[in-house]
Amino acid sequence: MAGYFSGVGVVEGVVSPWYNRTMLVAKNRVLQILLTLGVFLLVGYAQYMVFMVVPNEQVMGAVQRVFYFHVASALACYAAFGAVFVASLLYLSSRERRADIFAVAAGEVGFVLCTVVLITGMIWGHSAWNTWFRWEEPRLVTFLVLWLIFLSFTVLRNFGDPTKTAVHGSILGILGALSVPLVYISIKFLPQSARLHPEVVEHGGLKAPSYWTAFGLSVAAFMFLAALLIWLRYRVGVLEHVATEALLDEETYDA
Amino acid sequence: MRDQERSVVREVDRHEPVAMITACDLSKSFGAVRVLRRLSLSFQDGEVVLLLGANGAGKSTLLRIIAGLSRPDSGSVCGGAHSSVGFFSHHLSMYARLTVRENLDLFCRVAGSDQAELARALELWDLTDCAAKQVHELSKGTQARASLARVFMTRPSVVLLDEPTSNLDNKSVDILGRALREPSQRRCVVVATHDIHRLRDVATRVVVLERGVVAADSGLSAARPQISAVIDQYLESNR
Amino acid sequence: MTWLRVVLLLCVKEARVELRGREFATLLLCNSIIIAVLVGAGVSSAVLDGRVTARVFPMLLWLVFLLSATTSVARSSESELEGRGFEGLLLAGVTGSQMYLAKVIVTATLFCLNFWVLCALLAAALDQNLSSVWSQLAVLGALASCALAALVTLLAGIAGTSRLRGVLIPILSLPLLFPVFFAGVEMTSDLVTLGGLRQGSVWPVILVAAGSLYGLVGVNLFESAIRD
Repeated sequence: MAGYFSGVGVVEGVVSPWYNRTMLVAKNRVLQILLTLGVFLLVGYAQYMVFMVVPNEQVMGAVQRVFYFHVASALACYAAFGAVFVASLLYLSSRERRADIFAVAAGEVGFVLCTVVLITGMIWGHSAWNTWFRWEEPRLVTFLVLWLIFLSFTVLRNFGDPTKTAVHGSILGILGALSVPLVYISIKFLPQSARLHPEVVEHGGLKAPSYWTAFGLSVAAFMFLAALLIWLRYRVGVLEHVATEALLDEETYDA
Repeated sequence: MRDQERSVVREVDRHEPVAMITACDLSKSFGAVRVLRRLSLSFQDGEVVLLLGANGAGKSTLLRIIAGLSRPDSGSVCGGAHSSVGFFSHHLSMYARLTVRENLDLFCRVAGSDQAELARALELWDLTDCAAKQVHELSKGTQARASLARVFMTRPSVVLLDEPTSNLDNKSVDILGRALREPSQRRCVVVATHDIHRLRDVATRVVVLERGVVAADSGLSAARPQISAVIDQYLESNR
Repeated sequence: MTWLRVVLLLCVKEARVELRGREFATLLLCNSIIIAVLVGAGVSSAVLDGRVTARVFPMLLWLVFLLSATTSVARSSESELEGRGFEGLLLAGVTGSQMYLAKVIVTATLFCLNFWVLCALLAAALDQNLSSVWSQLAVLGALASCALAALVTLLAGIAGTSRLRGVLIPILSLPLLFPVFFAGVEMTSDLVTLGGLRQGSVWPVILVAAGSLYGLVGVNLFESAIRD
């Protein structure tokens, strides 16, 4: 247990300076607006690259463009899940309310991103396999399980014991995050598991430089968009918490 | 023994009041309801404190936090020299499907107490006849007696009782009164109750909570008239 | 009293409470029997070929086992919540990890017994001959029961105070049980079709890894789950 919490102390030491710097952003309204605009510009430019610049891929044609959304949202989803894990650890060690609010925000955004991954995966898969879902495809099945874990996280937050949702949600977040690698490995070892995933990158499908530029931009756009959404949701959560505390303090003052 | 150690022993031998529990700036909310509001209190060894207050004043919440069963939203509780806590509430903190004897035996063993205490507790709390019955088969009053036996059996240094008399008959209240009067320098007792008349004689201090803050406190080692004055004022304001 | 002796004492307590109430075990067995009969009737009405039935038997066995276990386990936390006996233990100095281990041991034992009964029942319902692999199947059931108990005990502590605990526990546990499910199905399939595990099979490692992961998290976080 001592080793576990000293490890958490290291995480806190790494995260806190970052948090303090981002608080600078939170307090500076102009900076907030500029960053938000920047993210939307990046997303817009990425869309432009994907739909207007890159040519059709040789094997899969126009539908291959789903790849830019699918892979980018998958990477952002993994990042969101990692954020849930770290925030949950932080909350359990420090019982700092902001950590729990951050975990909730990352969980909600991660759930949406996971849904995007599944839908885009099925669209892409349908053109490749002529069926919407293949249970032999380990990555798609892993994301389906990940989606179910996010769903259970959301259900617990909404229907669990209201006085303990923070602690319980954190425990589930840690358990879920640690289980995902095991889920992926177990699916990969299933005998019917096949390499059905369209291997665009591995098979040298992105021949033109514009493919790589669009891919890089899409990943960056989704990462920054996810970070922005998490930040906005986090700020809403913090404001709700501050408002509740202010109301309770007002009662104390009146008393 | 070195001089420093001798002087520490002499200090302890003087039976000076030692703060057994110190609650600092405790706040606790349940949703949109603030139950405790930066409450600070200190309890000394040898005290029997009556904790009074209307419903929702924060008595039960305060006791649960001191017992370590609930976390405050802010603030802290520091233990003094105590190493064990006994807590009674309407939840009983016992297993309904075990007999009285099995329950007491379990708690006796895990707490590392002498097995002789078990027999003594059964006799003291008039539980010998129902010792072989499962807790869920007992009346509410007998269940409460069994739970009180569980609390006092291991001789904890801090005893926290939340409405202990609510289901007790007069005989059981007398047993409780005798247990509370048992002289013990190294024990602090805090009793949250509405049953003031039955327990006012054993109290050495009265604290009144109102909307999560301390509204009145008779003070440490208060004289009987002072204690009575606080109680009477509380009763008058809640008529 | 040593740490382990307290755990043993708590195991005796758990077993005693369960033997007196018999609620969890009864619910577990009834759920298993009912779902197994439904499955048997379903397979029969689908008029499946004997070879097809043999191929789906492992999946059906583990599906029924996991469903019956996760839907019944909410009852096991009721005994703690009834009189909040666990608070008495916490006050007496018992740690959450000791309580957790005792619960896992007793719950795993009940799950294991249930698995053995289910094997026999489904084998009879689906006309499968398991006599040659019975001992290996029993060990597999024991390992999977430990992993399952390690997870659902922690989740029962989380969901125990919710009004929807009966529904919440399956929702929380089933997505996390995929490694156990796949390991169970693949190993059972090997035992039934090949008479033993394949050389170099990774599934026992995955099963043990899953159980260890759940147990590690449970031992460390159970107390946080049950305390206010």
